[in-house]
Amino acid sequence: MTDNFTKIDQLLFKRLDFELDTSFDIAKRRTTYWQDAWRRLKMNKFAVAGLIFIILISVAAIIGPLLSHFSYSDQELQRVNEFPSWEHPFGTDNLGRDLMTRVLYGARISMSIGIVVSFLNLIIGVLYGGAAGYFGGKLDDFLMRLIDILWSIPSTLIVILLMVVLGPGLINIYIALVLFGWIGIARQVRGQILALRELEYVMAAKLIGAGHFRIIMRHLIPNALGIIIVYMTFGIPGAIFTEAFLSYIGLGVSAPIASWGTLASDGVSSLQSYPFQIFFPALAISLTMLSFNFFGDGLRDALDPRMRK
Amino acid sequence: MFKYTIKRFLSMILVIWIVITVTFLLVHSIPGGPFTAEKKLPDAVLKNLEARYHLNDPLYVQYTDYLANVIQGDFGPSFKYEDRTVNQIIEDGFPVSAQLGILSIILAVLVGIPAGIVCAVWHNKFPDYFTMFFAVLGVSVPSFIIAPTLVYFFAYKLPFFPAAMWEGPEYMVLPTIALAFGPTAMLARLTRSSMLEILSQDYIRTARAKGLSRVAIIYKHALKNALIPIITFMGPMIFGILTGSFVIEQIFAIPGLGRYFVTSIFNRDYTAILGLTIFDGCLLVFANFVVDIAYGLVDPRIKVSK
Repeated sequence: MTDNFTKIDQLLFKRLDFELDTSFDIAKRRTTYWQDAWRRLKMNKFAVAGLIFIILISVAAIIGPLLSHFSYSDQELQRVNEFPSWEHPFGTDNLGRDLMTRVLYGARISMSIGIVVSFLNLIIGVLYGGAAGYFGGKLDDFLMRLIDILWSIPSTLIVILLMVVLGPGLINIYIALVLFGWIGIARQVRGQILALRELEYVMAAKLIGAGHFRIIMRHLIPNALGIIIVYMTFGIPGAIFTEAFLSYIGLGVSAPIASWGTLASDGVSSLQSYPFQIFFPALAISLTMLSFNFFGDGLRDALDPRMRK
Repeated sequence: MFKYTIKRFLSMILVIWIVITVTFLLVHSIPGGPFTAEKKLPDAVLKNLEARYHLNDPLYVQYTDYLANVIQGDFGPSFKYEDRTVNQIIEDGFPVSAQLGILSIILAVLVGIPAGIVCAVWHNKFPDYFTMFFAVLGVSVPSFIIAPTLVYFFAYKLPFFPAAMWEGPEYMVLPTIALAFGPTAMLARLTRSSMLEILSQDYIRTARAKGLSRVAIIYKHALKNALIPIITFMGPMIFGILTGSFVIEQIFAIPGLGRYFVTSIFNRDYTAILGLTIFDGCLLVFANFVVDIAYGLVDPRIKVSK
């Protein structure tokens, strides 16, 4: 037995290129959850239209008042109640103030109330709901009993009363709207966390020694994020709506600052003679609400296909 | 069921007590008394006034007195209208508000539920899109914009209906529509999604397979089950109609409870605000209690007594 049989000539081997034939590859490109959601969202035309309008009105709210020749409080008493013209595209109000500037400025107030309030609600709701759902037991019982009671208190009445006590003003509106606003999101988050914490990967995280904070922040909250985002999208128009309602009955921001609610309320009194004074603020509120509703519906379908109706 | 009712009743009492206490403390935390806003009164007059309304008592005495009075149904005097009590305001305003509210609920139910059924039956066809367009509009547009729009077109441009006041059936048309708009839209959306869920159930397929007509399936088999979840919406709907009436009664100058409420906010009539908040609050908490019990009675699948 010579070594000739086991010795193989290196020349018999040939190096193959690493490029594999892809013509038979039918596997889809891998997409993350968020790419998938974005793809589904883009298919919903109403949701995209809503998103575009929300971006437009936000940009207009930020730069609009800067570009305008007028300020929201400038009065021109010889030019009151003017109908829309080139100089004043939305007309002027009963003190000769440019209505377009006031509507754009109102967009700032209303949008910032919507965003700040729903963001604060989000933080409180996620912390509260997260704690209740994750730790469970006695703490959960106590926190949920508290929420049940708060939930059955007629919140709008207490909010109205609180605004009477605190007086008008932006900060007070934040306080009044956050006071009861976080309850809904806390309930949602708790329900999600309660279901998620029984899953294997949470057990795995516990076994390798992850702390409570890490498990909640890195494992549970990201998986509940879909519901949280959807809730926030509906929270923004909700807050704008409540602020407009409060301003309408005289408890919102104080003059000369304008929100869409105060503008609509001012416009009603001169409805018969100067209908344009309510038309433009009304249009702004309605289109914004409509956009948020369409966008929120689309987002809900996109983020959680199981919730699709 | 009995145990559940008792439990819900006790929690209702607790919530009502919390509402009374919170509103009482909130109103009494307003700096200065109710008479300090007026032009400066002589000290002796002020003392007399405070003595008459027991404002110089310590807070806990005022609180227990007020609680005892409220339990007996006495909300005390109004601070702005000298010879009127809060009870008289409620007696004047409540019947009008109740009339408006009940009319609106009837309208919302009569329009919203059939609209939702139409959407579900013709799912993703023209009637569905057409109705849902109005439903989204109804959810998005606040009542204080619907109302002026209705007034502008159907009272000024086309003078079919009076623009304000509350003096006969023709005065009720516009406010009722304005107030019912939002709840109708919500009901239509809710009925639609509830109907769609039911229509995809196995027992509906069975009914179809044994040859029942479309009408019989929808009205006899689907609708009954589809309406159950809608009962839960009755609580929020009554709530929406009540808060909506604040604005609607203001716009149409209707002498109801909502308008008195807003007027007393403008006048800073603290006892009236306190009394009306408690009255409305108790009404809503009670409505929720009734809805909860009704839900337990109607849906046999739900074991309310855990």
